Amino acid sequence: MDSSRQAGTEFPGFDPTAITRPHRRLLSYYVLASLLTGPLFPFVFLPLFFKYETLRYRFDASGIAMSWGILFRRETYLTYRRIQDIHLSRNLLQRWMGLATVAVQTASGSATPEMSIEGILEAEALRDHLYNRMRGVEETVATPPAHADEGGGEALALLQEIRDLLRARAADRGDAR
Amino acid sequence: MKPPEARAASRVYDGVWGVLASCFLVPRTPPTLPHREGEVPVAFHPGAGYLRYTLFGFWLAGAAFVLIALVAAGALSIAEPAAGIIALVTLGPLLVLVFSLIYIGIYIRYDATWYVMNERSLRIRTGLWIIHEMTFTFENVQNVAVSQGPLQRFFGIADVVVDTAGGGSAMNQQQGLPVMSLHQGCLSGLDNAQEVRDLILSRLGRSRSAGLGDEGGREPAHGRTWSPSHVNALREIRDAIREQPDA
Repeated sequence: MDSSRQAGTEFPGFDPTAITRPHRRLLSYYVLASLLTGPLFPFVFLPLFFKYETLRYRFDASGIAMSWGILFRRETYLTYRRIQDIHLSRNLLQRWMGLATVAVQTASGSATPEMSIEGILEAEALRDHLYNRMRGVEETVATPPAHADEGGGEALALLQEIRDLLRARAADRGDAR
Repeated sequence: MKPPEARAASRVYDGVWGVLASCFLVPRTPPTLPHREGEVPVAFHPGAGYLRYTLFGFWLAGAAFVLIALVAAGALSIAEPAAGIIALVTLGPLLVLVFSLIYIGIYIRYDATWYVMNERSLRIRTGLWIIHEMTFTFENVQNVAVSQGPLQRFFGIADVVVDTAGGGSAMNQQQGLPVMSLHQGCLSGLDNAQEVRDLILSRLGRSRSAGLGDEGGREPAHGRTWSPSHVNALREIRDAIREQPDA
């Protein structure tokens, strides 16, 4: 693991735009996880199987789209800039299989994450990809534009000039009367 | 030079870590956090007081459990002496084994808890079976709180709780996330909680936005500067006044 990676740099060779489907290993994980529930296996596994079969991802320049479901379809889109926090969690089974859950949250009031991205083998690379695009990672403290000061100074001088001209004119009128 | 028992203990401890790292894939190194050139992210564990605090809880709970077990075993022996002895012989060693596992687990859990901070963000890693890493940018942090119970005060530690915007109370067991809001990160058991809080607050004070997705901090503040078109308009006014023939 390279700990000297810098913000803005990506894992080499990681291209999230190429990801459209979860990795096949996710199905095996679903099978094993459902088996752990014992007699409930069919009830737990069937929804997960359909979720796996219909799960689609799309990573574009500004956000992530995720959709799944057969009877009840769900489609979520969230923009990178609105990401509040990123949670990466792996249980023992997921670690053994090289999987992870990347949960992404926005500032909404729901208790469950807006998006749980599963079945991506390069979870850490994905997390860094998201991290580099969320707010507050790049420099956000704005430096005032260079012309601001001179512009302000010139405007002040102009205003003073206008004031003096008007005063002089008023004085002229007073003399004439 | 450490005494031989301590060296043996640390060898056992390293061995346990080796097993955890190779078989259960628990990383012993801190999580990485991308950072800028020339910037060194700080990685730290909870304070040493946190270890004593959790061990104190362990001894207290263990003593209570053993007391109850002894009372139950005594009652059983009086009612049925044979069953009481069998229970004592089988459950006694089991209890010792479980307790020593928990005891080692406390140390391991302490060593597996990491807080990493750089100039812009914070990453927290907790957990052994479910390893959970959360990442927040200070830009998104809404408030920072320090909380300390009486026992924590005795051990000289406090928790720093970092909140981001958004609600949601309990957790979702399926996701395997800790029992707290998902919009909250807790740096538990810090012995320099005030310093860490002030550090986070100073970093969050640098940001000008409200941390709700507005990008105000990236644009020049309007109304405080003059754009060239303003200046031009003023110039035109001046020229108009100058050219006007005196009445």
